Amino acid sequence: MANLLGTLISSSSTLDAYAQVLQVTENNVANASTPGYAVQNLPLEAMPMDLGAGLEGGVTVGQVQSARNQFAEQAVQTQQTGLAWQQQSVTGLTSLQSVFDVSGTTGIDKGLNDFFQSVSAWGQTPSDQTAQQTVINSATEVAQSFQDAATSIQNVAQQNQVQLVSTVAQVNQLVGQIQTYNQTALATGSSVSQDAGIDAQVHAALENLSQLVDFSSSQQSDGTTSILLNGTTPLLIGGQQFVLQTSLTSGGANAAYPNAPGTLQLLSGEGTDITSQTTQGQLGAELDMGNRIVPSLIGDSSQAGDLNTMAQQFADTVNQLLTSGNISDGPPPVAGVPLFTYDTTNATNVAATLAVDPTVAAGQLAAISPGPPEVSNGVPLALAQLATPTNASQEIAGVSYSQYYGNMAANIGGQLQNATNGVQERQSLLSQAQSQRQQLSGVDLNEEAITLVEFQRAYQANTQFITVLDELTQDTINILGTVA
Amino acid sequence: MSNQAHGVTEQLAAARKETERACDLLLAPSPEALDRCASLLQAAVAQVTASKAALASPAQREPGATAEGRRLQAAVRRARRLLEAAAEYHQNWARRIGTMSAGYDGRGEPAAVERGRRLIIRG
Repeated sequence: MANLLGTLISSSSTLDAYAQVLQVTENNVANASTPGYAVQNLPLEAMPMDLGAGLEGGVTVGQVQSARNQFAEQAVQTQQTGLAWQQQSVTGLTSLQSVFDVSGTTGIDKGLNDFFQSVSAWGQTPSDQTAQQTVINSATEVAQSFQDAATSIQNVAQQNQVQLVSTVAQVNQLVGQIQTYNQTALATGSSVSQDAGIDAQVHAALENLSQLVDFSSSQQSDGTTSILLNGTTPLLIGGQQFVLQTSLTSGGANAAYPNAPGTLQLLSGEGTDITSQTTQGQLGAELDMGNRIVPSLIGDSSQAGDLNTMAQQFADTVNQLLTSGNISDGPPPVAGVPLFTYDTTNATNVAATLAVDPTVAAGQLAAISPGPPEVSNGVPLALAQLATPTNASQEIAGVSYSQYYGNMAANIGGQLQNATNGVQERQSLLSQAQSQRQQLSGVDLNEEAITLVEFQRAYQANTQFITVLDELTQDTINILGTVA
Repeated sequence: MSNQAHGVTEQLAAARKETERACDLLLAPSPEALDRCASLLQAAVAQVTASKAALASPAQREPGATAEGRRLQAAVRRARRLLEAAAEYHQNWARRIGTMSAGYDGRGEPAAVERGRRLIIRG
């Protein structure tokens, strides 16, 4: 009788266990198309069987374990973060690149070409007021092209700032979403991982978050998910969310350029400046655009910016040449007047304010270089020489103005090319990480251990081939390069 | 002469295609995929070796080959990056499994993974 009862009990527990397996299976099928859902396994464990001692055997079910692996998840999130950084960089740099047209048909490049042509023509007829008016017109065109470029870059900066605020709001919203799951877990005492549907939602939220920022997350023993921004700054601990904020700060009165545009700042929930640590994800790219790339062109509290530097040096050089010359020999000789004006109180505002003095008339452009020896068209010739400099005083940073502008454009173009290549590479790496997550999900440790040994052997073989292939390819390119 | 020079470019292009196929396999790395990947890379090495030997004769060099060489170089770089990422992933995962299944050894390193005995039913 005892044996019969034991058998019945054993059968009963086994049926219960299989019922739970069916429930997990049903859950897997129901959530098969849920983004972020991982197949769940239900490990069945044999119970000790010794009927004489009252141990009726059968199987019991262990705690439901999500097959999702934190490791595989984080690998995917890391690649998502890297890809999002590259994609956002491409977006920002594409906007900037459109400002720099080096074809010579629009913008600063065209303005400079037209100006140098006009002064060259003026040099042939130095007293011709029509030629002088053409110089004034082309100078106006140059000034306007600097203004347009500065305005366009400021617009890019403005759009980037709006986007950054929006990104921070998205981060806070996603963390807030996970916070509600944490609060439920704390209130009910059950882990989110025990509910496959909520578990999937948490992971979907974390995957979305990984596109915005770099973070680490971990499941706590109380069932909550903790999130640390950049691995150090708390975003979510238990039921408490730490809300990120942004601000725009100036360099202060002691800064090299106190009137410069402000710097974007990211503040932790406790008010700490965490801008410099935030270098990854969409948010990292937006901070990089706002605090590094744009300031390199139009300045910040520590630099004037290349565009302003170029605008100021060009204006100063032209003005210096014109004011060193004479309009007429006299007596008494009449000195020339400066052509360009700009905001002299703020070196980061030169390009945006560069203009031709509206009071300057054609007859006021000085063509005579007093010498000795006096040269009647010395000033136009000197101005034309700026196009193809022969000494340092005609150059900017060791190159001509057109080359300097071309270098600015090339720098932006190069960064854009790198980011574009980076997107392709990161997309491959993300696909790989997603594939690895899929492989890992549902594979038990025994199979995995064998597979890992096979992987190690295969990696060594492939690494050797790639090293040889890389060297051979470089050698081949070198040989071809000697011909080209 | 023209055909031979074109042959060098074609050899480099063939090597690139083999490398790109290896990249595709590395998107979903498995021991089987990596074995096939090694074969493809070996074939690519043979193609580039032949190209390099052919280039010993200046008559067989052409500017178009340089561009193809650059494309091959980019493919090799991508393959290397994918292989490194996959290797890093599995190396770290092996360490994680070690600590999960057997803890740490006497030197504080993740223990070697041993095959356990467990019954798993998957739905």
